[in-house]
Amino acid sequence: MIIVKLWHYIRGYVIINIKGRHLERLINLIHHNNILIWDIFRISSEEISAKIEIGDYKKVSELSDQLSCTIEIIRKSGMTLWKWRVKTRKIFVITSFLVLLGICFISSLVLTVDVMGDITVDKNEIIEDIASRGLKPWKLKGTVDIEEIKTSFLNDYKNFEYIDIEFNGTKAIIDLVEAKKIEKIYDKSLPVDLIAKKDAIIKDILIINGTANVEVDQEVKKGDLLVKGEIVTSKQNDEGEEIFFNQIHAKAKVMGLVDYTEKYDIRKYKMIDEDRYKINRVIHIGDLVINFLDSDENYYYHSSEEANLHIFDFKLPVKINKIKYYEKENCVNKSKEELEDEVQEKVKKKYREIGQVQDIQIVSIQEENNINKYEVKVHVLEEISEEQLLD
Amino acid sequence: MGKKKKIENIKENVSDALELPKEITLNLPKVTMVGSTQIRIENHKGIIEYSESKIRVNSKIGIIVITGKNLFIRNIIKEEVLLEGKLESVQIDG
Repeated sequence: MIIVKLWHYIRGYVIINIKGRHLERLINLIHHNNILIWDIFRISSEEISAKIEIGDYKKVSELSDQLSCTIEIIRKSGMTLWKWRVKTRKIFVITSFLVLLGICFISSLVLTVDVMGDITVDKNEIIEDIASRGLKPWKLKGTVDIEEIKTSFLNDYKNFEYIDIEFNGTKAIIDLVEAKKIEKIYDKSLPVDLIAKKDAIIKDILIINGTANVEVDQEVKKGDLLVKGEIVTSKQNDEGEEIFFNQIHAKAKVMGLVDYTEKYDIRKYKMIDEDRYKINRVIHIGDLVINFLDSDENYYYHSSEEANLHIFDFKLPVKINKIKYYEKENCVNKSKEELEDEVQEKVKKKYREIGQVQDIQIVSIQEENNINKYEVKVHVLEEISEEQLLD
Repeated sequence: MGKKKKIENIKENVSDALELPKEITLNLPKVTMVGSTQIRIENHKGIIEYSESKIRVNSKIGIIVITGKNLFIRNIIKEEVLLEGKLESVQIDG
């Protein structure tokens, strides 16, 4: 039935009202003349409504005249009437065309740039860098030279081994793979030296194979030879003592004290009641910022969460920044010891896997609003040797 | 008249013997009902009366009277008429 309806719609039809005394005769006459008539409803004893094809209207009109019936068009419908509608509704057509044009234009733009991949570098930094190379929101996709961006990026960032940029609708997705720092470990049958992989002060050496080239408390630079993969043997023969130099696979445990400099931002205050906070949502639409909080004088800013609005997978250029505030009345300042403990905790957490933290020295403290910016020097005792193949 | 009837008898016997559909060979009306909402009459000879409660359709065997409520003609072509509504009875007035 839907096919028939669709067929009628494509051909175009009119809904007519026929008034007269010989309506049954007219119906018979219509179908005897091979005119398609359907959906015939009785309205009153002398009136019916029916649907006929537009092209048949003239014939039906003639037939109804023969039987002294009057015919009236109630409504026109169907695809053939589009042309007529387009002519009469110019503003609508122009607006529709402009909307379509607008959609086409917007869909050819880059609205959002996203960085995928498990990377240690700040993703915002990558987005800013890529923007400086020509890929940023509100840029036409066709004007972006992806290959050029990829090549220049990989040339500048040696710590990345792969970059791919693809467009998904209006979203540009940057896929990055960081180059893994693989410590070279050679087969034990190959002769190797042990060299320093970091600047350090040697604190302990335990040699299993090879000849030590450094002493305890000696300062070494990155790349300095620590243990030589060579042993000297001598053999007594008729001509005297003969010395042999044998190349071997050096093996040792060289512990060195390495200096690191770190910067930490620590909040000066702590909350009395952690559950008493206020959430403020700041809406970012492109460059427009809508902030509902009149003043934050009485509050301490605590944390912020950013979320992009999506329609299915389509990322809109609208960001909502959810900011958490604590009332100043609900906060007390941390003591100097508490602040320093927090710094130490952060340091220990970071260097736990690298080695033993021997000493933490606070180099400088800068106070900025409610945050103390600490610069600390960390001494870590760690394994500093790495293998280097002998020629 | 007698000759016409004779021909009809022959046609009937032939269609019986050959198992041919009688609505084709004898041009008899074929009435198909779908539940109590739709009725299709093939080989009709036109509408005689049409109202919301009663539709009379002419056929070779006589007038087929359909009664019901909210009756309307969904479709009418030379060979068939399709009626819809709440059907109550179908009667043949020979």
